[in-house]
Amino acid sequence: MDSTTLYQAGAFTGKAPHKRRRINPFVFWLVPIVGLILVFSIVPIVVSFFLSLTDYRLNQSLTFTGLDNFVYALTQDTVFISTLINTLYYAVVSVPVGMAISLVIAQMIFNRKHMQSFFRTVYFLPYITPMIGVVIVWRFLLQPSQFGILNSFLVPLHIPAQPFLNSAGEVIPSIILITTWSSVGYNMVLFLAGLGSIPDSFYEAAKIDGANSWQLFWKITWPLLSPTVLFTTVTGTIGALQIFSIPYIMTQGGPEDSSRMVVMWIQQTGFAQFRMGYASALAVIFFAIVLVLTVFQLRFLRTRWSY
Amino acid sequence: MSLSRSLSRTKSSFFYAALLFGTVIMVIPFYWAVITSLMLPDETNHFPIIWIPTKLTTQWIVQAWNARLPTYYLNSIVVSACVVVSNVYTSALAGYIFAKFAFPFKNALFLVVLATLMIPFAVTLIPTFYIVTVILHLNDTLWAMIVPALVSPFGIFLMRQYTETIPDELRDAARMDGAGDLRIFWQVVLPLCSPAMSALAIFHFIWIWNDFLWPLLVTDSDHSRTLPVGVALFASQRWLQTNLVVAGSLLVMFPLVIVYFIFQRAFVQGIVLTGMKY
Repeated sequence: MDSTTLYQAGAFTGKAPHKRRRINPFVFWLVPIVGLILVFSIVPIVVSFFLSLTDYRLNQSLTFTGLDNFVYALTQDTVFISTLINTLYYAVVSVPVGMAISLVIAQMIFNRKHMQSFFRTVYFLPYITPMIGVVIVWRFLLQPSQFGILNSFLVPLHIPAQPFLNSAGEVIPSIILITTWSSVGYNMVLFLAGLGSIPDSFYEAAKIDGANSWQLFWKITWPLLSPTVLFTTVTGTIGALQIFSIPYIMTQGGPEDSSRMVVMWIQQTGFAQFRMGYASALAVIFFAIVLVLTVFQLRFLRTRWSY
Repeated sequence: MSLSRSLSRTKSSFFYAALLFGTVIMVIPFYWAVITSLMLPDETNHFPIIWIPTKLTTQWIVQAWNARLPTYYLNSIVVSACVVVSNVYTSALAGYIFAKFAFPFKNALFLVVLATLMIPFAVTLIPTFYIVTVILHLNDTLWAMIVPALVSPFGIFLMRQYTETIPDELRDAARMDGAGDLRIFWQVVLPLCSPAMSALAIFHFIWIWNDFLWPLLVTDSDHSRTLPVGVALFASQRWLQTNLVVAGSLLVMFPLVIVYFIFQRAFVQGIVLTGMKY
């Protein structure tokens, strides 16, 4: 017997049971909560789609311009196209690289009786460290010329000093290095939990059958970790596509727009140039891309791993 | 047999070496930040790099702390405290209602809440900015950062998953004893949810403490800037003073690292719980 039926039965009100289902008044606590979601999530989405069809600028009257913003963005706004390419490049490389490294670390830490919690603590530490601190420190570590900290490790290995953030070709790999360093612990912790949920008996049975550790990984660990892999890929990609603060603070999008990301361009057009209608159109295009990629990943990875 | 054992021992020591190498990579940036905040500039600019400073000074730390850092800290603490408390409470309440009560359009409403999870923040940015600054006049106040973040669709989703596992019998028993719904929520449901609630609190704290884009847009002066925005500004004006800027970054990182070491287990479990329930 659930609450509503008890309630209807008049157990608490002393009234006769109602014919119609009555709503428990407690449910009305949802009103302010859902109201806030409505005001700060749902209404803004709808308004964004509307604004994307106008030439709106803050505090000015707007005219309806149809699909002009979209046409302009996709055909003439070369900066937007390059931010799209930069962002996709960043996400497509950083997500698998970060996952592979954290999976390898998780595998090496797992089953290690000694020092497991020590390693876990250390690798997780950068994730907990405030992003602004990480960005400042890495900006110095990645200084170009032989005096930079990272370069001082490369030069003795006969690798020439790298320009890192100062070169169009290396700026995104440098950002990938930083985000991988700072987020490797997050995925590692999820993978450790995933590894912990695989029963030992699977491995024991396979070992009796003579499987080597390579086979153990590909035939048991990898397929059984697929839910974790799916989760980290999908959420990691959504997060990576929205990268903003690291390039914003470190490079301001330079050199020559080579590290300018989509969200930076939306912020720039909307809040520095005040072309808010146009920025909304960019946001809508961006949303469509995120959605397509997410659906694609869910479908592709799920069908590959449907057990 | 002995061959395979020695093989697995070599493998194990190789793993150890690799993990220790990784540990060095994880730790070196922190170590460099600590020594640079305490070094004299001529040692910082020395080549080859000096890893063990001979003279230490606290002048950079003091100077960085005096550059409005206490204000930024206070702002960040107020914003994240309000957001986290409100998020955890409203998520538990809404999650519980979605899990255990029947009402019309419940599933449709829940789907709408879930759908907002999919929306990148950039999409809602401009209308939310309009609501907060033009309609509510909250520009350059801490409220501008608190009000839009008071409720969390992700939190509601997480708490619904969690409260669903609470047996109905507990609630029915409390009801038999004459407890009202609000009292049941406070005295039966909330205590049972504490693992999920602390996980959610940690998750949201990390997120709101690092939030950069939104505070950047709605703050114009030091009395409302939070730590990330304030320190980014501080650094951007002083990039050439390496020691000072790094001392500033150290002051931002240090307290959180300490908190992490104290509540390490809770942090890790919080991340796992929020990650796994998705």
